[in-house]
Amino acid sequence: MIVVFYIASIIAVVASIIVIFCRRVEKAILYLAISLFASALIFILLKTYISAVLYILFFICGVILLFLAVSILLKIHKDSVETNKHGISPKIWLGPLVLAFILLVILIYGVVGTDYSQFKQSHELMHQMSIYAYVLMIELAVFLLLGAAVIAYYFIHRMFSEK
Amino acid sequence: MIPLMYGLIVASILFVIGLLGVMIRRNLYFLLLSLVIMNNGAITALFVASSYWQQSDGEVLAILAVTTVLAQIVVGLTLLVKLIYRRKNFNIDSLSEMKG
Amino acid sequence: MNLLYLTIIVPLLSFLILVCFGRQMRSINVMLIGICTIFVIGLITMFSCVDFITNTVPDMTLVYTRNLWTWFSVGDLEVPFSLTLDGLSLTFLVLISFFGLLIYFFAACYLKSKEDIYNFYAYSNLLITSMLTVVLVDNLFVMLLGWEGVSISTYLLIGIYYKQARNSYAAVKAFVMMHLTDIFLIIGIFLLYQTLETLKISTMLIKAQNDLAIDSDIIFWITIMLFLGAMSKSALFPMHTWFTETTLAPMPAVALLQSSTVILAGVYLVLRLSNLFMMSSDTLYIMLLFASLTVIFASSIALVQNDIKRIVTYINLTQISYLFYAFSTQNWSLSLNCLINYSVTSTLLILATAILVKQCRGERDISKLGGLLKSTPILYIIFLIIMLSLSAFPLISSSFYIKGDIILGLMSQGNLLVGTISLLGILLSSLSIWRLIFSVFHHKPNKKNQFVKIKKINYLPIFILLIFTTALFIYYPVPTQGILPIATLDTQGQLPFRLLLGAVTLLSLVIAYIFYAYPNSEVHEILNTPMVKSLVKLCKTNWRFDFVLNNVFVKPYIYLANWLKKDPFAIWDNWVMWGIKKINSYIVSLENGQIRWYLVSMVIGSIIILMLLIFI
Repeated sequence: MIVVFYIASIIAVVASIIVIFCRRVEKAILYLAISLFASALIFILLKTYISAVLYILFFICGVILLFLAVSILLKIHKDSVETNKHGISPKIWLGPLVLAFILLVILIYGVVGTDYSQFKQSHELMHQMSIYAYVLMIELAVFLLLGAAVIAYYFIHRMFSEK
Repeated sequence: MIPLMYGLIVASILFVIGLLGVMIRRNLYFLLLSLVIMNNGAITALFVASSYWQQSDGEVLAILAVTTVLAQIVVGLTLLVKLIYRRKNFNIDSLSEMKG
Repeated sequence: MNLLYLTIIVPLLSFLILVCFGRQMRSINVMLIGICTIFVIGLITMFSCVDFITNTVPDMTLVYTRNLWTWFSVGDLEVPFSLTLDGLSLTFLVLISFFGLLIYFFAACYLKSKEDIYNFYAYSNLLITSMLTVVLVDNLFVMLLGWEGVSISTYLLIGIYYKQARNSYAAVKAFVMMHLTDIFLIIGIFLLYQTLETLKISTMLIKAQNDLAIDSDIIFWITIMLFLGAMSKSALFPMHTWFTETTLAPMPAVALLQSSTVILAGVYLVLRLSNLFMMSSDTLYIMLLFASLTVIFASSIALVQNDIKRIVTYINLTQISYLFYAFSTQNWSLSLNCLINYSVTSTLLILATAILVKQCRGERDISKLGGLLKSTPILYIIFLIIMLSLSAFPLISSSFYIKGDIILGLMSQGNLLVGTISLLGILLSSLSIWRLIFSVFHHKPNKKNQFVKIKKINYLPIFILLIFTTALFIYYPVPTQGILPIATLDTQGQLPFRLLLGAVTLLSLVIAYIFYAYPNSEVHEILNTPMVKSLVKLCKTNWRFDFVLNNVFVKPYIYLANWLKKDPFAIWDNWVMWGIKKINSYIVSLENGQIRWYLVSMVIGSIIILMLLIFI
């Protein structure tokens, strides 16, 4: 089971790296989907099935569809900004890479160096959330999404009407 | 059972990769993709933690986060469309008019 | 003696009245106020003298003290304003009031312009006030008050003819010189307070004798500082410049400044603190050194000057240094006699010169004067008597005995060189006065002089003073026992030495006769040799002292001032400004509107925060 986790996480990481460095839009969307599915596999391994299903249906489908729709709508096929022949030039990515590496090292150091047993003990003290709290959460999320949709519609509608 | 530590490590790696993507890309479209990866890392952390403590609070929070990310992407893509109609390109730096 | 405080109050009031209302008064009223002031002082002085003599018990020191009020008190330090009268201050009081009276009287006859009269009386009153403050108070700090008053009134008196820029500059120069050297006095006072913790002179002297070791470092520094302060008022060599600037003042003011007041301030300080000075032989030696320098300097310059006022000034300067010779032989009562003799002689000289100048309608160049013998025989006689006094003529003049004793004291201490210098000083100053007499009274004038009729009353102060120069008044009965240490003069070898002094005097007569009476070709030949010529030139330019002063002090000071005008210490201020601007422009350039850069800075910030969270 741990082997599956390893494979899934490696796939997720590699696919993510390809996403951020690639320049073709379809390829990027594809790899994003792979990365997201790999993380969904990790969720399944964590035995959080309902959430994982929700994640796949709701998140992956939503994200991929949105991106694809926009790219088809605007006829984006290639990254027209980074015109360098061999991808993005090192001048741009070297500094952020170093910084990101330092951040990663510190994060991992923090994660590894933490003593998890004290968290285990303290979890009995946590109170049980009521069911209404979950309902409220979901409602909040839906409102948020609705707000985003309204904003998107309003923006695009105004823009088209201007034209 | 997957240890909490490994899950958190994977989550932070994903997060940092997304961050790197945000830092190095100038194309708004790819920037949004990187943002999705970054958020994916955060969601992964939430899932891992909730399964570690065997409580569903974390999962609910994760679903909330998923919704937030979706909303964010909707707004972001709208802005992308607007950018294209205003500037005819995807370069986010073309908006850098507020200089000191 | 209870009216003693009036001696300070009355001239001060008179000064204020003259300064405030003097311009509206008629000049005769101004004169009246001035002379009444000094007359009141004289009366009080007489009463004090009578009181003092009737109350004196043999072998006792009579000290009269009167507390007026406390000036200020800070912590343990209390500075009372109290007047003290003992033998020494009584002597000075008599001297100042007597000469003040004579000079005021002379000025009333001498000055004609309304402006001059008003200025002279007003400022002289201030001078007398501050001098009496110096003499009468019993506290060094209060004495400083009078000391500064003397400086200010010197400035005012020199600047009486302020309408010429040269006079104003001279006044400023005198003021600056005096004030710069007053710093030494202040340092001395502070040192005294630090070591002895009192400012009251009488207790200070007792404490010093009990607590301090003779010839210790601290006593040397105290006395050298006090001496430098006194030197500025008494016009010894490096600080004599204010003394020569006084020639620009009107003649009565010159008399007041040179002979009877300002010089007395320094001398009084040394005499009052003579117990301190006796404890440091080094200071006395330095005193000797400066006095010798002054003798050589002043007498050599007096020999070649043409301006009659300047000749008189430099002759007086020579005479002052004999006072300091007397100090350094530690013969204090003799020095007091010498002081009286000096005051008499110099006042006489200046007043006689004043009459001479006035008679010749303000002509001061002796080379243009001549042949006055027939027109003014009285003046001729007066000058002759002065000459006798200056050249220490044997048996007739009192200065013969006084100077003889001083030089004998020097010689018996083993300072043969200094003794020789002082003999030389006598020789040179008598030569210069001879030169003055010959060229003014004997030589044929280049052009016909116009004479002004001088009233006989002008001669009155001079005739009074003439008596005092004679041998009738050698040793004054000065009541200073118990205040000044009594020194026993070594009378051995007095007679041969007096013969020597007489010989020097006669020698000066002979030389003067050869050089000045009827100069023949050989004399001219000697005078025209290059060495003598260059020497004369050097002396005519005051030994280039002003030049040296200008180069050593004034030019670096001006350079420094010009440098400081650019505010060099504020440059770091500009650096701060520059740095802030730099940082500002740097920070502003950070805000470049690029989302990538903002994110990088956010990452850097989060790295720092995470590090703080993890590692601390």
